[in-house]
Amino acid sequence: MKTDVLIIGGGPAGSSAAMFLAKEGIKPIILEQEAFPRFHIGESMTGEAGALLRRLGLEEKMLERSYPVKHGVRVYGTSSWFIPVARRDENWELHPATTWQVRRSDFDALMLDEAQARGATLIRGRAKTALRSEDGGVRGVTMVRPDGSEEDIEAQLVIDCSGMATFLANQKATGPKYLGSYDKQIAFFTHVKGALRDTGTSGETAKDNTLIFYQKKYHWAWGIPIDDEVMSLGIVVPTAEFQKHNMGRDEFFRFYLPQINPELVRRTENIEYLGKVHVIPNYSFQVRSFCGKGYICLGDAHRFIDPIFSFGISAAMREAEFAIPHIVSYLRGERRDEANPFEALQRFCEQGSDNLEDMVDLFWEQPFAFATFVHQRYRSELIDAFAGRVYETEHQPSNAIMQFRKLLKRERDYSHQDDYSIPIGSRYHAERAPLWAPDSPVEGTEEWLKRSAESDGNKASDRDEASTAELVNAE
Amino acid sequence: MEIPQKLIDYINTSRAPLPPVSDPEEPLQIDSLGLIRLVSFMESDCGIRVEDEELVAENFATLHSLGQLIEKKTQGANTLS
Repeated sequence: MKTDVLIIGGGPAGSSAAMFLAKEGIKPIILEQEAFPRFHIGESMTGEAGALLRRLGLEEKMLERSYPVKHGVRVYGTSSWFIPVARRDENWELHPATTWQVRRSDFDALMLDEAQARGATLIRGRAKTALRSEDGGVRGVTMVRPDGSEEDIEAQLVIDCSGMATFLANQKATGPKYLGSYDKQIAFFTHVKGALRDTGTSGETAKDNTLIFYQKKYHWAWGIPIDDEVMSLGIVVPTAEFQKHNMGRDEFFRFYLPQINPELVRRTENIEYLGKVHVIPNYSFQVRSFCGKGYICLGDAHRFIDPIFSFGISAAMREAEFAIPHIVSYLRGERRDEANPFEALQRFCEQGSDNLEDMVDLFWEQPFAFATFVHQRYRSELIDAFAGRVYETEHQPSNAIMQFRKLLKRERDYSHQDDYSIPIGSRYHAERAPLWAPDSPVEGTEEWLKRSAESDGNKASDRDEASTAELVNAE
Repeated sequence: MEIPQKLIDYINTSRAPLPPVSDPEEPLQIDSLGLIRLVSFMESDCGIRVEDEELVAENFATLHSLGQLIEKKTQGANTLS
């Protein structure tokens, strides 16, 4: 089989890439191994993610589904604050805006259906191996259908939207995959009914805002409404904290939830759990050289920093949109002789992610300074950052980001393509910023899950398998 | 420069219902929102500019640490007034 563009993974990165390509008259193949709808985490959108959906002409469909409307992010911690969703007009003036919270099983299916309606071809199957060209580039994949049969799909361009499964990185088609700064953190999450919401219709007290709770450094929780009744509830702690208590994940979730913050206790006193507790440990990573001859990685397929400010869908879909002009000219035959035909795109996306990383790092390192910035000194710059406006074309890095770097004693230099965005490494084991490769002595997510399943005993093993499937389901 | 009396008064007011600070080493116990207001008061009413890198909670933990911060700033002639 042959195609111009092959997209691996039918999540928001893949389906939005397909829809933007369709606008250019390019009809890609999307390879997806899961039958949709399927569970996925990452339910909150930034303002810019909402704006992007409107650009794709999906506002009406979003409204039809009555997704909760997000007016901002409310943080309860040692510092408490609210950041509203706001947009910029053509004169770069701020105006109030809203975006959405979504049930991912439903939203992702909507997006994938819409991508097909606009001309993409969906193939059910798993990307097994990357087909490599003589010059080291990527020229397609070997896929395995659900019935076990295999076929090669050759493509001028492979777009890896496989999420945390990082298909091309695992195939070593990219540069190395490094541990990220938050790789020693573990996230637990589930859906609940009966969590208390605010009762307003707009602004700080709007009923469907994102809630973030913390007190101790690196110990936090989120509450994200996904319909009128159900809230996505998650807690994130250092992995060592979880291991110390020697509990199963459901037990640990119920035990630890009341310890995060008194306001969270107040809001979750009478909750009903609607399903099992999911887990993703050691989630933070970064892939170097994530663009190259014949390939581009988008969203989680090349970098996952930390879930705290809900940048996941936003980065995935925005990177897809940013990639389109580069893809169009590549398919026209331009820059084919260059070592990395997508160098400019790669640098652009990496700089945006670096701005986010600096923001998350400062939040934990200097919460008082961060809160003062939010309240007074850099309010509009931080409204931009929370809205997902973190890219070079959006007045970034802003004065706020530059000040974050100063306080973090961190310099970023993008003048040489080989050495920018070197991962800062694990927050907990600074000496370990090593490669996260299959033969690395550092335990990867899959091994961790397997070992955790063994030590949890049979009772938990079915849950572990399910969680492993979540991690690799976009592969 | 010592801590201006009006700043001490402001701190005592924002600490209420706690009694006025009597010991320079006593924790001020002002919550983070209160600290943000305190910084704002220092800048607008006392003419003491607090730099971004000085926005660490330890600087505002006690009258002693606050005094040290102000002392350091006045030595560097780092005030607005």
